[in-house]
Amino acid sequence: MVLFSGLYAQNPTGKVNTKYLRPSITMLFSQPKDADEEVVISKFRNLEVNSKFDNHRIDYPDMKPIEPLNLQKNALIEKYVRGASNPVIAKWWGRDANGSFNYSLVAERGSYTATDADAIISRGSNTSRIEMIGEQLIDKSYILLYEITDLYSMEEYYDRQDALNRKLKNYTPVKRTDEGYNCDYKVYAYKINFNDSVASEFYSRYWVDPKNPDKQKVAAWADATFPVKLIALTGGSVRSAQSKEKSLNTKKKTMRELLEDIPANIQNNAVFELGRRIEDFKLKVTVFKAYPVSAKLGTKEDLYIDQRFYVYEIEQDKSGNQKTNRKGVVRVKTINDNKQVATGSSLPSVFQQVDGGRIYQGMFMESKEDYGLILNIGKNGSSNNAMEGFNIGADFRISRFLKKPGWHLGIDASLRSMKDVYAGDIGTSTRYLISSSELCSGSTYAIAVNLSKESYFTRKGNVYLRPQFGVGLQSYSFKEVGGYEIASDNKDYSWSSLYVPIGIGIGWNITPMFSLEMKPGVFARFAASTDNKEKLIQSAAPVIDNWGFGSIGKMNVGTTNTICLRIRF
Amino acid sequence: MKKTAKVLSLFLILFTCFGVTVAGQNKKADKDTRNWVYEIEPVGVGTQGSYLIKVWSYSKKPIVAIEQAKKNAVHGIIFKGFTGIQGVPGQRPLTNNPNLEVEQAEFFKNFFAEGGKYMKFVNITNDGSVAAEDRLKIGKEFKIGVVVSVNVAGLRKDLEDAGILRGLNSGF
Repeated sequence: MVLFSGLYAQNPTGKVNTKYLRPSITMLFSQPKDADEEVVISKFRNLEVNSKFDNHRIDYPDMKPIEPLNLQKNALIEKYVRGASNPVIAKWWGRDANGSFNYSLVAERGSYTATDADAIISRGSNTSRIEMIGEQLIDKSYILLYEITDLYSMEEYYDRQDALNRKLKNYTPVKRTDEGYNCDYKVYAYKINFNDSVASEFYSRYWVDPKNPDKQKVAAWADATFPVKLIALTGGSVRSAQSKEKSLNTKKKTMRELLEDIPANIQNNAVFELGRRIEDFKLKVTVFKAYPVSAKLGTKEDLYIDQRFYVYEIEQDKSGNQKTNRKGVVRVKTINDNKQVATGSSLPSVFQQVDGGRIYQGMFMESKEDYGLILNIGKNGSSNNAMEGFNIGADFRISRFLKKPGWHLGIDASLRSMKDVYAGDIGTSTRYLISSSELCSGSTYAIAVNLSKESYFTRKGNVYLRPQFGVGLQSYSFKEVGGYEIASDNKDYSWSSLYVPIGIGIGWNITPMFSLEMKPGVFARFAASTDNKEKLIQSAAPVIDNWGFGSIGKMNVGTTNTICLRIRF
Repeated sequence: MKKTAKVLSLFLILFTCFGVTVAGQNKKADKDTRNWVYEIEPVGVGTQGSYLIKVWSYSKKPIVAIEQAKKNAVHGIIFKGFTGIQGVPGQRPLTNNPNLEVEQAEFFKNFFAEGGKYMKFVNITNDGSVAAEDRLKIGKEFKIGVVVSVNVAGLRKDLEDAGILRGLNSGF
């Protein structure tokens, strides 16, 4: 859960930044306030950063806790981060005990971030282009300061819930089903400014190497700091918990293990959020070939299946100012393993276009990650009125975990009210419930969990097919039968049956965010029972049976057709 | 028999259309080339005897501009030269005779013809795709930058052997 985030403007030049230069990440921490935080921070220190970044770990003391209401908090944090800029730059230039610098790490990182095009151009040149790229990477140094604002157990969480609920009229204590921890955090993302003028000052004031020793410069380094700027601030809350029931866990974790799971969750959330907001964190690449759309990114950039990219045409006006014009949207289909230094012949990853017009080789691609959540709102029609009505649903993308494109796990619900309907003669083995002369009123709903796969068969991907299947519960709730009101807790008049829906959606991606979909399907509904677990028996079906009462006691099949608007987040 | 004639006619029409399209594209490319509308900038210091340059060409179709890049690069090295950038010195053109192209029109017509000799001295230096920052849409046309390596030593020698350029030591 993300609580808030901030963004500061970047790249004010008139040129579009089309290169992804691997940012380096230095993680710093606010001092742990207790033993639990100590466990979390200790684990965090040794965590590897996401593979699209270079891990620029330094040995630097934690920041002393600052009171949240301290008006100087931001200034104090900046002072602390600025202090850390010294060891960050020292690490870049491999500063040794004598104070000498060298190019080893700069050259190594430059080689690793260089693209095929860079490698080929470098081969045709006498100057070291790769080393130049390495120097550019120093200006992509980011310091992420993690601050744990609250770390509390699930017991504490339930206590807090109960304390809140006590203010309500019908207070009932929450069920204490889980054990583990909740953690609220903030991440301050600072960038070290190592532009040309700062670099020039660095060389003139501090550069020392074995051929150019200078004791004064070595001594001056102790006080050297570099300008830093807060680029983004994000925060949120993560939970690391498991059921107290042993049978519900595949592997029961200790409380310490649950604590140690927290850093990875925080890092994943923080990297995702910052990746959406910090320009340098967005993957940028050229369309290598069109149809199938391919680009030279891969495991080195931590590409994942169905990751979204926008494809742009770069337009330039007469003054030389550039702007991007979106031409299409693509998603990662297959990922190439490129975790090596580029030689000029690496294979590209393949993308599926899902929206827009024709894409051409040489266009500009930039990552525009989404949350992978789709909300559906529409109308469901059916041969059985009890299965139709206002339709609402949500699909969550699971392709990243399955490593297969297009897969979603969803939930779908249809709701409808029922007024003055003949249901026939229905009862259970022990009692009569409704007679054929009685009119019934109430409501119905059908709710199903389903698995679906978005498949694309056209090049531009404006149209898709989405076969799906699932399992659900269809229910009748009666409010009135034969003129008598039915109490809402009367379990004899609340009926439900399992059903299996199968359908195929035909969708049209209108924009990257909105799609229209029509989904014809069939369902098999099984015999219904009351909420008292008594099987229902239909002894005389109604003459006109639009609500599925005629087949309430046995398996039956029917058709559905859903039309909905899908909103992608 | 009638059916066969119809099919043959259809093929004939299709081939004619295809021929007109290809010829039109070449004509457009040649027109752009005749105008020699391009810009050159250095990319790096080339390996021994070569220049590593980026040629910006203009066309309504990016593919046409890419095709013309090699021709424009060699033309630029002979007649225009380029100014330097930090770390890469500029280079003067191979000839300082501003009328050479007109005086040796027949030679250069053949030299820069489709598949002409100019191709021997230039190689595109990319991984198979123009970089995104080198594909710019300006109004209704595209400005395309292609990095090429020009074998200047070989080019100079060839032009000297053909009597188009004077040898470096012939003036003394």
